[in-house]
Amino acid sequence: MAKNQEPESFAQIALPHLDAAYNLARWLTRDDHLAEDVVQEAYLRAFRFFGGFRGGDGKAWLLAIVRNTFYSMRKRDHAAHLHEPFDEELHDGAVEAGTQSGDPEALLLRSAGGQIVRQAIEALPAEFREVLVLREIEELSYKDIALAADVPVGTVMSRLARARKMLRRQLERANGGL
Amino acid sequence: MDCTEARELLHGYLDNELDAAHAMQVARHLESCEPCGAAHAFDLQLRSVVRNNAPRYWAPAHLRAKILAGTGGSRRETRRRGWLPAEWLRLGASFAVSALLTWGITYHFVVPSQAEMLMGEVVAAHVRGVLTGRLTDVASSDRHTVKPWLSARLDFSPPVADFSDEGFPLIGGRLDYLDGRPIAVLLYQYRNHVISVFVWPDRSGGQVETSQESRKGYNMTRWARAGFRYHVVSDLSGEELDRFATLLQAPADAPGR
Repeated sequence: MAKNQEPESFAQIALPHLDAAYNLARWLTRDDHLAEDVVQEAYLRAFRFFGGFRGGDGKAWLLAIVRNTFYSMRKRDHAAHLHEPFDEELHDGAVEAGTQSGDPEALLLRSAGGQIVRQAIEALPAEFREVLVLREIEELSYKDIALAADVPVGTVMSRLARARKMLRRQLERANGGL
Repeated sequence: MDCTEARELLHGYLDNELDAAHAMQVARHLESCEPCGAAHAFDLQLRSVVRNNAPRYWAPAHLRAKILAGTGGSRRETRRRGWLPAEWLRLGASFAVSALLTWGITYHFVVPSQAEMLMGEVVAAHVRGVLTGRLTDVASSDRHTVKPWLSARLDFSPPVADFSDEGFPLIGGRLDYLDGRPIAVLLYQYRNHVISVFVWPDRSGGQVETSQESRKGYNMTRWARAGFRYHVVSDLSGEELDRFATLLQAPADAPGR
C-alpha cells in the first residue's frame, strides 16, 4: 500500500488486505466458516470506523479490527466451537528459558509436515497464536504486530518468545515426547 | 551481557528487531556462550519449520466476491434470522454511496434518494471493475468490435467512439446491471486512469439533469442525450473528466466518431 497522494477510499485501504485478514481470522477461529463470519463482520466494522482511520498502515489497522471482531464474537457467542480451552500445562510448562530436553534436531525433523505444525500452532492460546501467525506467516514487524494486537512492542517480543517455547512443547507432545 | 539478558533479547535478535548496539551485544554473547547459541540455533530451525509447513490461508473467492459486491449476508446472520442484516445490505447497496459519496452522514440517513443510490451503484460498479481487474468483457480499442459485441447482448445499441487521438483510448466494454436493467459499460484509459462510461436508454424523457459530483477521490458526471443516459466515473481530476465528457457529448458526426 503506497502512500500515494490520491485520497484513499475504504476499498483501496481494506480490500488489498483481504487475504491477510482471512488468514488471521482462520488461524484464530480454526474454522473455515467462522473465519468467513469474522472477516465479514470485521469489514463491516472497518467500513463503519473508516472515518476514524487516520492513514498510516492500513494492514495493521484492518488486522486489529479482525482481531477485535474475533474476540468480541467469541465473547458474545457462548458456542462451544468458539470457546478457547485454557491449557494450564501449556501456559505454565515449558516457558522457562533454556530447558533443553531431548534432541532438538530430531524433534524438528519429525515435526516437518503441515499437519503436525498446523495442529501445534492451533493448540496455542489465541494471544500467543496470533503474534506467532502475524510474525511467521504474515511477516509483520514488531511495530505492526503491536498495532494489530494492541500491545506494547516489548510485549510482542516476550509473547513471541513464549509462543515459540509453547510451540516447541506442543511439537514435543505431538511427537510423543522426546 | 549475561545469559539472562541475552535470553530476553534473543527473539528480538532472531526477528531482526533489535537496534544495532543490542544486536551486536547479543551476537557476541551467542559466540561465547554455547547453551545460548544452541537455543538460538534451535529457534532458527523452529522458524524455518513453521514457515515451511504452516499453511497460509487465502480468502475464498466467494468471500472476496461477497465483500466486493457487498451483497451477501453474513452466513451466521442469515442462518439465524433468515434475512440479510440491514446494515450489511446497506454496506452492499451503498458501498460507494456511503464510503465515497456521503461520508460521515450516511449513518444518519437511512434511505438515500434514488438518484443517490444510482450514483452509488455506478461508483461501486466502477470500483469493483478496477479492483477485481475484470474491467472488460470485450477488450478492444476498435469501436467496430465493441459496439456489435454489446449490441448483440443488449436490447439497445450504445454509441461507441474511440478518442485515442485526444488521449483517451477505448479499451473495451462490458455488461453490467444498473437501474434495474442490463446496461453497457465502455472503458477508456487516460494515462494510468480508467474511465467507466455507463450507458443505457433514457426512459425519463430527458428529465435527467446534468450534474457533477466529486467526492472521496472519484469524479462523476452524468447527463442524458439523444435517448441515452450517461454516467461517467473515474479517479481523473474533474477538469480532465470534463474534457472527456465534452468529447463524448460532441455531435455524432464530429471527427473521431
